[in-house]
Amino acid sequence: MAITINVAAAKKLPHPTEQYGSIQATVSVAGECSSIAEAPAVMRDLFQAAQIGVDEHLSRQAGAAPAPAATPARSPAPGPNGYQRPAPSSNRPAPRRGMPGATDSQIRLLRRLLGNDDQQIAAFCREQGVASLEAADVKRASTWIDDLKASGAVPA
Amino acid sequence: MIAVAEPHLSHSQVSGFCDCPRRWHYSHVEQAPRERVGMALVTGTALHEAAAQANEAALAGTTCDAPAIFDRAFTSAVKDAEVPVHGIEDADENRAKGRALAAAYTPPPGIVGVEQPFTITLADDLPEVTGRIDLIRKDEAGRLILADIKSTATKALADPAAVAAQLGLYDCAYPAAAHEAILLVKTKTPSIATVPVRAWSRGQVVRHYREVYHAMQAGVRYAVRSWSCASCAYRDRCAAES
Repeated sequence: MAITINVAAAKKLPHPTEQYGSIQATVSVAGECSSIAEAPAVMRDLFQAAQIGVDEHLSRQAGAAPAPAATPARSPAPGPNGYQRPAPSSNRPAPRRGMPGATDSQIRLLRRLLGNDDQQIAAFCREQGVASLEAADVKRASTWIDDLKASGAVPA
Repeated sequence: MIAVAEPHLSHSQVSGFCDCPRRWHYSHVEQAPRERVGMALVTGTALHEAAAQANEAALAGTTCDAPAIFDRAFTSAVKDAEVPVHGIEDADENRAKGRALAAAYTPPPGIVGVEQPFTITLADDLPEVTGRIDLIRKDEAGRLILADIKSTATKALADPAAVAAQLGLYDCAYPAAAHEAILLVKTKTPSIATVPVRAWSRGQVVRHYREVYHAMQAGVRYAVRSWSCASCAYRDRCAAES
């Protein structure tokens, strides 16, 4: 018998430009698994997907927010002291408000705990279902570090 | 490969401009050579290095000799300074205080990031903002806390608004549940204090950066007279032009 799992993620944040305003997003996703044993992993994946959906939607909303009326328009010409306005970088994704990516220190330490061995790192990533260590968020990287330390790994 | 220097802002640029627009102009626009470097800067930089290495070691579950790291960083900063060090006559006293502070520093629990670099776009009419977060840690509930390490003369924050702005900027890059300043207090008996900080909102940070950037572009360069003029890297030139 298939087990149906429904997961929802919601987030409400202060509006990036309007004081006292807010933006919010709710995402609900559903999935199935064939046994209770599989349920925690499926729930984790679904929840992660829902959180990504929420964060991406909020990032888009934040990017589309109008500039405050009091902001003076800027000339693209260099200022008198040589400072020049850079090209607008609207193609850069707005920072996500969810759990941030793993820190450089965490990545460095994970590499050391995995013996600075590319093959071992690749195998670890495959096992964890991620493309690279850098794909993890702070929380996940922290869990990996704790698990590796608990398994007896020492920094190379 | 050709390296192109993109215009950018940083917390130190913005706070440096607010402290003294003329000093910022000499340093960042004219890129004028410094006349001197202050002993407080030398000591603070070496302490920062010692604390960062202690934090990195704590993350890895090991320890390090923080006083020795401070010593090396202090010696190297004095030796490699290409200009006179203001207050060099107090070097021994500063070295001893710095070593004692480095020894007193205990990394907080739950460290997940040390000296974390970031680059963010606050708004399309502003250059990218770069920075480095001293410390990112988790509390017992797994929530992120951002911390900045300051060496200070007293157990109170000298400029709380500047720290709130700094941590507000960091929060735009690494959203966190709480913010704090870790003070390395240079009193007779060195001590460490952690002060919670209410970080600025993103809106406040953007408005502040926009106003400061506008002033930078407009060429604002008045001098701010303060106690820090004595050790200012451009004291002589500034006095001559006043």
